Amino acid sequence: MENRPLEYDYTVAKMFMLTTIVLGIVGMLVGVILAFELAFPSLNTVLGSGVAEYTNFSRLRPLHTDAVIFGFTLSGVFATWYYVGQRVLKVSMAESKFLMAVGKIHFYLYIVGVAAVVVSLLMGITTSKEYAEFEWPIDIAIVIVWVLWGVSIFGLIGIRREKALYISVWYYIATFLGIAMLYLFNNMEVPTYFFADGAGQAGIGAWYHSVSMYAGTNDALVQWWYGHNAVAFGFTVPIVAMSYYFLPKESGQAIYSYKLSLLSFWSLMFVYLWAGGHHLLFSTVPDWMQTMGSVFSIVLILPSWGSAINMLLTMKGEWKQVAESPLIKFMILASTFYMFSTLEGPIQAIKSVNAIAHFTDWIVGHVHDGVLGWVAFMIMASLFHMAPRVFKKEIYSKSLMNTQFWIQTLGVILYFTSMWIAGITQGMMWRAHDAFGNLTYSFVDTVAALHPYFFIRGVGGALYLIGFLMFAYNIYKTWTVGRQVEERELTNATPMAA
Amino acid sequence: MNKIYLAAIVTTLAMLGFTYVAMDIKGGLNDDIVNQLAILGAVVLVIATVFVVTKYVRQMQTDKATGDLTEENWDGIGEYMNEMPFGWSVIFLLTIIWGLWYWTAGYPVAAYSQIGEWNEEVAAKNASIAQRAANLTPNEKLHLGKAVFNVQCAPCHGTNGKGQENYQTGDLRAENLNKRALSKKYVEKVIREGSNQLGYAGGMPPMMLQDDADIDAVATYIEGGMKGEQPAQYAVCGSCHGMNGEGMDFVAPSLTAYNVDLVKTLLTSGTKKGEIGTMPREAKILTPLQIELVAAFVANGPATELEE
Repeated sequence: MENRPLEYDYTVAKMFMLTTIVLGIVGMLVGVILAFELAFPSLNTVLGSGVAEYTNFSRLRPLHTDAVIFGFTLSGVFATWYYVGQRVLKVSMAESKFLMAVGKIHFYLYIVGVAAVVVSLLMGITTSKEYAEFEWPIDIAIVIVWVLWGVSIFGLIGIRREKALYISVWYYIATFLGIAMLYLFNNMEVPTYFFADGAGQAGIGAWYHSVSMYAGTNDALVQWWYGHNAVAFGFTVPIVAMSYYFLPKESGQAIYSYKLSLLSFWSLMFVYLWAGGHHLLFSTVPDWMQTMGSVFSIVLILPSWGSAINMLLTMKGEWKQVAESPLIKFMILASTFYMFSTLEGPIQAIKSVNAIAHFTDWIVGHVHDGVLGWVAFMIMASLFHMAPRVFKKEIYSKSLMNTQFWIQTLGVILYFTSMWIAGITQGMMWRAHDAFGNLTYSFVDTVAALHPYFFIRGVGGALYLIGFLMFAYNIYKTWTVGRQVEERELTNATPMAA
Repeated sequence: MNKIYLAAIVTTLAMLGFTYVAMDIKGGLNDDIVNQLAILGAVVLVIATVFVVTKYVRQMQTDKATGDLTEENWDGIGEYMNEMPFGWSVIFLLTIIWGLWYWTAGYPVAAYSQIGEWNEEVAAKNASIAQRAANLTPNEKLHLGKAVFNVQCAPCHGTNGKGQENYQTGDLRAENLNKRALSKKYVEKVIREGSNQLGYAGGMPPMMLQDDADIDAVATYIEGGMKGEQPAQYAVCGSCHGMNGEGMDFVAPSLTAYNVDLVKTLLTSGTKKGEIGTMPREAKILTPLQIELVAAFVANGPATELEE
């Protein structure tokens, strides 16, 4: 056994690759629909007033955010974990019937959770907390899914052959612990049907209905501690885990600095958790907490940039690979978008800048240069790297991947530049006033001024979706008609047909 | 030129251009420190990111990976024992020192209050407004009144003050402020039931006229714009509303126009109910000066073109 390469078992990884792609298409499609609904409000009722309830912006919006966060991104995290975990721990899932069973239950229960989320959100059943809309029965299911993933992580670590844990594993562990803590605390809620109020009255509302355990400012603080760190531990930490594995593996280069990876990891862990208060600037939250949120946001720049710089320096002297491989292009551009959005966020968290940026489209643009340019690029690159290894096939088309790269890059650029212009314009219009303090513009004036940018945003999103469909097609063709490859072709650079 | 430098320059110029466009569309810098800082932030963001990314991407072309590897490797991935980039380490250390300083000494939490800052700013603004208000021409007053109107009144009454109609019944949902067109139905209701929605002291008592025929005659006369022969019973109304229906300041509103007295009284103490809902008590939001200005603007007829 020790003398030949391990036969890794990618059954569960494959399952999650499938959901990554399917839920990615769903989430991004809904996103594009929403973008055009904002540009052309009549689209809200385009299918008739009978189904307007299901097609309007407010009903679809949580479906978009939750499908891309908990559907696409989390599936990508799980898929890469079930791939990377085995390889860097040098242990196969096939070696433990228990872990294999846990992995499969993890997947099927996750599917049940996804179905419950889609149905309940479409029906309008929601706790109305952003990114935490699921009612308590679904929350319980999600906690179980999460615990199963934890069993899988620590189980695999428990039977590993590699003595030290690779940096990616640290990041996956952090993802697990971070989300577990955040999700539990923010979703503390009281099912009103089962529990009595102060007057001893129970049976209020439907059986699935609940209210938050916290009230007022406390609720807002917990919510944005959660909301901000869901970005940290869902969109940053596991994606860094991917970049630490897939970039050096694909390029055959060693990581630039072990020290930098360690310091970036621990400082990111420490600093990120304090910055959530910047979502509540100029609110009823105590002044010192607002200041703390801003200060920690600024300090957060360097830990974030540390990982990105480590990635860029890993490619020192390897320009030829960057120029030739679209797969590496995805990862390098992802690192630079990561740098851009992790500087943009802290700048928007400065109180004086936030006074203009808050509630504008600049924030929406910021989120999307992160998720489109960084998260989704990195996940797609990871899946492109994994596909030939799990299917033992060559990537179906390199030129398709190249085209996809440029179409999606254009899509991201259109998205964030249009929102950049729209957000700054909007903020300035809201603040504009005459010498007597009267506002110059009413809200509808800003809507009219922003219309062209809303349209451009929709076009950018549509381009990105088209690119994603090309990605899905490429992976599908790889799986079905790709040329069979030998193990020795899979060491580093991914084999691709022209 | 090297492609990387070219890309860096194009990106920087494009992003700065977009920022400039955004400043130029509407709103603008407006001499507002917040706007200026936001633009500064945007410029710093673009330049810093492009500069640092260019520096490292350029190293992919010119530099070579070197250093001692750690003993372990994972799935064939090694890690160099290289030191951390010097600039990165120094800036990280500086932000930590800055953060500690800012939070404890530079901007001490106990010495700052958001509400305090708000109060100070409002007080300063009010003082400067009072100073300017002392010598306004009538035309300037109308323009300023229009600005208040656009924000506070136009959402229901429209920017031209023509109100809005219920598209099914044709009834007014928000009044046309250009003329006071009282319907017969409404006048009859007010005579029978009384009214004090506009906020005049005491309001109007119910049943000032008793006889149905009298009520009908007066209501028809008022709906018709008080033209033609005046019914004798109107004298009861005229004792407060004036024989020409022009109203009496502080006592009773005009029946023909939204004059300054009516608008001021309504905004300060009225609780006007409309089809949409009760009109907000604007006095809570507006200063006395703003009420003065908007009343002048409404009395002038919101649809009337103003001189520049």
